[in-house]
Amino acid sequence: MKNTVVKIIIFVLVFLLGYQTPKFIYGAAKDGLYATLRNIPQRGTIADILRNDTLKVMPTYDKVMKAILDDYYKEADEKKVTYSGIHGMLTAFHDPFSNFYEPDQYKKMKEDNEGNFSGIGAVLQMTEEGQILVHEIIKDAPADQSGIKQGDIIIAVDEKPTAGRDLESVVKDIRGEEGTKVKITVDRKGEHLTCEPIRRIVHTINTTHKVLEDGIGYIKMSQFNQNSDREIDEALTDLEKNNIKGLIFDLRGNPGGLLDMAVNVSSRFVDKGVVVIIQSRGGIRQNLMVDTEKHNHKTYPLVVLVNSGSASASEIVSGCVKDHKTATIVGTETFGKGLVQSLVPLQDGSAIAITTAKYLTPNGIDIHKKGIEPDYFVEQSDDYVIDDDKTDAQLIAGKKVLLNKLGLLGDDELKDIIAKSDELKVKYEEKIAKKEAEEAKNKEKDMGD
Amino acid sequence: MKNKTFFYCILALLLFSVGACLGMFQMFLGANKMYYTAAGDSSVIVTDNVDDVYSSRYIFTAVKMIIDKNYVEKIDAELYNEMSVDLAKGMLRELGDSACRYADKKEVELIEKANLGEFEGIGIKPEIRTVDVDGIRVEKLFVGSVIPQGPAYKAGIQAGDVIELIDGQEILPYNPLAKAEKILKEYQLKPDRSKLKEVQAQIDKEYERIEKGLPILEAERKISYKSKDPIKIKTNINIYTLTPSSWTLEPAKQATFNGVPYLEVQCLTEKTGEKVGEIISNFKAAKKDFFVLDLRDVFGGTYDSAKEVAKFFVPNTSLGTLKTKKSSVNLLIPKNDAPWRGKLIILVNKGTNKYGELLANAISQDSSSVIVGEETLGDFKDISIYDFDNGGGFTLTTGEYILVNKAEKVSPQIQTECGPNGKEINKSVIDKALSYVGGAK
Repeated sequence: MKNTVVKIIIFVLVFLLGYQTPKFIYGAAKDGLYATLRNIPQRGTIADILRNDTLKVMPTYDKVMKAILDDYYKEADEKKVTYSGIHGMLTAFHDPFSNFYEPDQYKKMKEDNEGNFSGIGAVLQMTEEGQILVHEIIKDAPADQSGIKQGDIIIAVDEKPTAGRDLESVVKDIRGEEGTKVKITVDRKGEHLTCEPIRRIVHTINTTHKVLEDGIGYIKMSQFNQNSDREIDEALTDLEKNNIKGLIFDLRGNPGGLLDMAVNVSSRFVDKGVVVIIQSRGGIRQNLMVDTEKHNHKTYPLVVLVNSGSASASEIVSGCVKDHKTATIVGTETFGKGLVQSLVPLQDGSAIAITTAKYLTPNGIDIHKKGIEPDYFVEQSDDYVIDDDKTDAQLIAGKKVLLNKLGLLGDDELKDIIAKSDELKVKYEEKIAKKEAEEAKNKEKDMGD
Repeated sequence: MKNKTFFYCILALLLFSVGACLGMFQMFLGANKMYYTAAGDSSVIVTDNVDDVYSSRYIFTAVKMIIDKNYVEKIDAELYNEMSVDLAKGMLRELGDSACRYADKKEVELIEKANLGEFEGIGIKPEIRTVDVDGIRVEKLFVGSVIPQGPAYKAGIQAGDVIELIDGQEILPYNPLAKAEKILKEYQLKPDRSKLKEVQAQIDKEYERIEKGLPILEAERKISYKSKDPIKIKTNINIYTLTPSSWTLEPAKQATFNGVPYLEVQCLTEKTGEKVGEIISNFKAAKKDFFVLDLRDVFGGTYDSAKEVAKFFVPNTSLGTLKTKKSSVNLLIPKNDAPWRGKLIILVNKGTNKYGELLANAISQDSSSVIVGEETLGDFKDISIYDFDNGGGFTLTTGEYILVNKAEKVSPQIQTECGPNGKEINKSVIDKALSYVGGAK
């Protein structure tokens, strides 16, 4: 009798084992697939969501929405209520980098990230006096062809005055459908001129380069977007023709951008190994490796310039070259954003960006809230004028460090820089220690609650 | 024996295969029900109904799923709970109606208790109103009603006072940056480099103010119920330190000042009607030919309780109309064979609102009554409360009352400042009021 029961139990187990096998195999294959699709959300069904939704997020949505649509005394916009709810829900994470973008916001962001939009190819700036200044003209772009010049003040767009308006609304009027004309009235030293450029797709230029004295090449990248790959190639190719001996790569004020581009740009300076370690939920780590195909130029002694405005992708690149010891970092500590967001577009044109991972530098250092520590701390001079190399203390120090690396400048010449750097380094370490102590205190307080 | 083992092995194998087949079948059956639709260009999301992919609910579901599966930290039960609460708050915020908002467990309890005449806290019903300050629309925190017998009532705070500081903190409007933005914009219109420093200093001051201030919604919650400790409030009138307490109101109370009979309604609960009936019988027995019906600071309760009071004065008429999205209901006052037939002076003030206003207005339709006091707030929104499983809930404006005479507020025939509920009024005002009323019916 006992024997029979045991046999039946075994048969049932065997049956269940068989029943579960296909799912097990399928599941394993699925997980394998997604591990390689980093940053891309996993698939799931609504049933999955409801199963995971242990606590009422979906029911809350349904309940509030039903009440608003059925019972609220006025008509309400379902979509707006949903968007506002999503904005609200994200505040629960206390994470300033997790954001929801409504369709119009996302559209603008996409243009910025892609670096392409239909416009006239002028970089505008609001002056302190509130005037719209043409700060830069992209060569051969519609603005250039129609005669608009750098330094012009835009006073009207399609005869609509710009006085008292913010930059964003003026830019919105200037951009428009490809092939259409826009009438721009500018003030050039008191003279009023009207130009009529035809809008077309312009590529914003985020990478500029030049040759400095003593055969030093200089590349400045102001953002990591889809064009960065091509732009850095072009810059390096051009500098190569000039037979440069060393390179300064300027990432100051670069707020970051696409992660892939950080890997691609790093691959130009490091020949093999890990660029960055991505750590997602549950401590799962994935090493993003140097793309050897992208290592397509000569490498030079390298100095990377950074400051507190260098964030995210800029920090990945500077962290990578620092840990691989292929560059010397000069400037002030970077912003300290050690988090990776994934951006997922949705059907209605909106998009959600959420923090999906932390990243660590190749040596396993978490830079979040700490930033990348430069090899030489150098502060910007007080009388620095934008785009003026003569007043740019960090660039001057960077050049000296590079010349020293090239053996063209004696160690003695760096004495002042090192002395000042040591001073600033002490300050930086104090600041970090204070921050850490505060954080530990907050944590204790949280636990006490 | 050998045969038997062989048999069992075959049986086990057979069972395993059947199980595997069934398992596979079940899986594909499940899989067939899904529709994969590309969202934008990089992700894949699944829905049960392919037509719904543009719907708000679908978008929300997608967002929720993306967060669930990919957020860098594990989402625990507490965080899910916080997400639900913040979601509800966010959705309700879009309505731009301060009466529609999330209420936590404690707040829901307080709302329900208030309907029974039980109160806790400092006894102020706050009210957010928009006012114009130097060409900027800002929200200010007003004292909507003062609950009779509470700490604020005893301290002398009155409906209509403006709350300026709470525990020394300034109250910030919804958009605290508006002023800084205005300064900046004005400067941009008329740029003057010599003033740049001054403008910068002004803006810095604004930021400092914002940093130290208290957002209006938090301020509202703070005085609604949050604190157990004494709260220091500065209004446009005075500075008060209020210690929260709990107290119960009598639905109605009989009083006499200088020989004038008063019927003080303190709150509208299920029992108010009954108690009002009793007191009216007393007046009748004492052969009174008039009395003062005190409806000052009466705001809460339900329209049913208001109807039960109204039937002693204007039976078989209407309290007004409740208009909701789907319907329009005439709020009929029940029959009553022995209503009050003498003269009536109805007292209202700024704190009389909602059901208090409906009641005062309905009763004043009778020619033998006169309304005395201050113009009322004109708050005719019907608020419903919805519960969540966690004990919390949310309030929603679900209707509007329309007065029988279509008035937007109750305007007294004799306007006079009259103080809070339960305070006697000047004899000369009463004499004047009585001369207004036509003879008894």
